[in-house]
Amino acid sequence: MNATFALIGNPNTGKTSLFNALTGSYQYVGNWSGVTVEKKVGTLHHNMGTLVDLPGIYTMNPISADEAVVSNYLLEEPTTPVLNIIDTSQLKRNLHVTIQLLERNRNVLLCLNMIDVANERGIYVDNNRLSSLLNIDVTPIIARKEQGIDNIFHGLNQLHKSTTPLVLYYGSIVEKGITSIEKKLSDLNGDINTRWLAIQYLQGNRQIENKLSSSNCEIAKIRDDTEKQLQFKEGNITLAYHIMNVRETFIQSIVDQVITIKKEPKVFMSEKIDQIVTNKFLGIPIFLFLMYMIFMVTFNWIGFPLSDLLDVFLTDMVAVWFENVLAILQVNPFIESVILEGIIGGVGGVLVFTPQIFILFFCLSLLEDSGYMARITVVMDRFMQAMGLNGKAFIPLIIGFGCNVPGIMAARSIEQERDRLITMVMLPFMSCSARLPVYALFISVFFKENQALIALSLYVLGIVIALLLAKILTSTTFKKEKSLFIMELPPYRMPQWRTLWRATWEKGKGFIRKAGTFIFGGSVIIWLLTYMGPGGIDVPMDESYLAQIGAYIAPFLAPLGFGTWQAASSLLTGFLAKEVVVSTMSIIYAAPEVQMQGLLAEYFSPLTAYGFMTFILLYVPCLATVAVMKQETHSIKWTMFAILYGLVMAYIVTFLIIQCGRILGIA
Amino acid sequence: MISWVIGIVIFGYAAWTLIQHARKSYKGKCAACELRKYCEEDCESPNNYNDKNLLGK
Ligand SMILES: Nc1nc2c(ncn2[C@@H]2O[C@H](COP(=O)(O)OP(=O)(O)OP(=O)(O)O)[C@@H](O)[C@H]2O)c(=O)[nH]1
Ligand SMILES: [Mg+2]
Repeated sequence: MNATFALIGNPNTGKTSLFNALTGSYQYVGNWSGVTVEKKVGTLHHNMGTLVDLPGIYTMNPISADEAVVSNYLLEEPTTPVLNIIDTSQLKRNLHVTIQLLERNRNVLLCLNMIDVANERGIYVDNNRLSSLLNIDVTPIIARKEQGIDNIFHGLNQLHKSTTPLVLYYGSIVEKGITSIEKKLSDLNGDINTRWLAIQYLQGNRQIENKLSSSNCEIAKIRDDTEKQLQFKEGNITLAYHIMNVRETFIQSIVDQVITIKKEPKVFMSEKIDQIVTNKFLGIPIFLFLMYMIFMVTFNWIGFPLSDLLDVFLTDMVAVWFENVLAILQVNPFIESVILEGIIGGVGGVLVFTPQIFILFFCLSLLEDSGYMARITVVMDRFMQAMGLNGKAFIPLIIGFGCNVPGIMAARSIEQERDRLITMVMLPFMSCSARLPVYALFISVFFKENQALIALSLYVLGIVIALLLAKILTSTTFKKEKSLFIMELPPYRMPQWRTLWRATWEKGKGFIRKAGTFIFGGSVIIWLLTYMGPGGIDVPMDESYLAQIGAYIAPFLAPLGFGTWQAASSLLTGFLAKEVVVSTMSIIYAAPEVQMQGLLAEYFSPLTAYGFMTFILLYVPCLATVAVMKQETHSIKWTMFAILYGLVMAYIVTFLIIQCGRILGIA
Repeated sequence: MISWVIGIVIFGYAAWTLIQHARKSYKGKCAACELRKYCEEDCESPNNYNDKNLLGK
């Protein structure tokens, strides 16, 4: 069967959780509004067809970029059956989307999700009653425990039947407007319900306006007339408000009939925690403390012990095994060298840090799924306001700690275009997980005592530089625009082990895949560049091509304290992906019988090591980030700006750190 | 002989991964999007950042 179904509902109602349950995929789930920002497609179990997961919406009228995706989809696919998912504990608010879907057609299956949360709060819903009132099938489910999933498959099979849309009466004036617009649209081909289009148009749906732009001036006049008449009769209200009001009345009458409240609401645990966590004075210290704890776990407590074990395994077992096999095969020295020094050196050098990466991802998933993420936006809102943005922009920034690319995508959920653009330009300064191996390498050599603190300082430095950039942009380039801040605080949820593990694995898998693909490729090429030189092959490393390339740039880096060709060429390769810096260093600083750590200590001091890490943090976004940034900003100019600002900032900040350090007498 | 085979495999694969990476990055998210059919407008972001509506006087 080739049917397609669309998953639609308010933000943070469990759409993606349900999507994962129905299709067996592992899409990104998180406890805040605006996790999904683009369409995701999956294949339904039982060969039922395909399911499309969409971003959450509060109403059909799109405000932010991710919401526009939904309107567009509904327009382009007028006959696709819809799986409408609802947070049962907030039935009334959620039904607004349902009504608008039903006005389009009745090809809708209603899922009452989070039954567990609702019941816990003493809210009970009469499904059968609701079903007969709306004249559609209703299925209660608990998406994240995968309860009630079978009923959904059953319900989906029953769809297609009745397609007569719901008709609400909007009062004589508006009805007249609807009819006249419908007449103008009568030549519109396809299966689109013209009444729905007309209502959406009257309600001010931008996406529909664009769609109807051909006949725009006539229907625009109808809309203005209708609004004027309405205001003449009802006083100073807008059309959109009136339409919403009619729906609200209808919804209230339904809710009164189907909901029973069995318990008086009490002060919930969430609210008590929030009073402390989002406290004006405690908020930021708590946030910093949590970050500090994350780095303690990532480095001190679990990360380094595990990664030491892995190191022993790689050098003492894997490398030795390969050596023996190569000896038996009697390969020539060139091949032996590319495998042992290039591949095992380069790829292994990065893979050693797999534990740290996984632990960091685990901690980030914990932040995301618990509900704390939404609180951070409240805590940071004051700071962000001072920079001319608002707290919501902080979510993409935190996602950027995992990887900058999804961070830039997540900026889609920001309503104001200006804020969204600024957030995207800020994102490369968020220290992504690819930079973690670099820190891990240097921290293990130079900062054994204060591992977590050093890491924390770099992350905070990135945030500070990004905020500075925002301040510069909002106070010079952009016109003033009021930043409004609406953030839902979802209840805290105990994250489930399964969800956490999946989220961690999905992100961590990407790292391992990178190691197997272009970190591998990069290592081989870099090794080749160290092996060959103008003087032929198998030259001493100082006379290799890589040394020559690095030597061009090294003088520029001299004021920063690491003006060696080794440092310069490592930085160059980092544009491909930041992890490759570590591969390059593992290849360059490899020497027989000496640990790389020892050699590094000859070339760097703690001060220049810190400077080098700072430079890595700030200097240029990686290839993938640049590409996504260009795509999402639609602007080469802004992309170039982000790169240049990064380079300049990296240079200035590193220079200041090194010089101040020297003045203070730190080596 | 065996050296040649291993060498070709290694360098061939290395080149392939790098080309793939550059290609994928260049195409960006849209290449990975399963719904490319509708993507002309909305896999990319619907808002257009032309300087007119953002920059002040
Ligand atoms: N208690 C409970 N929690 C649930 C249930 N379904 C989902 N959740 C949790 O609700 C949160 C939001 O889930 P998502 O699937 O990301 O929600 P979404 O609707 O896709 O959110 P957006 O993409 O932001 O619109 C997650 O923390 C889930 O673990 C449920 O039935 N009961
Ligand atoms: Mg989602």
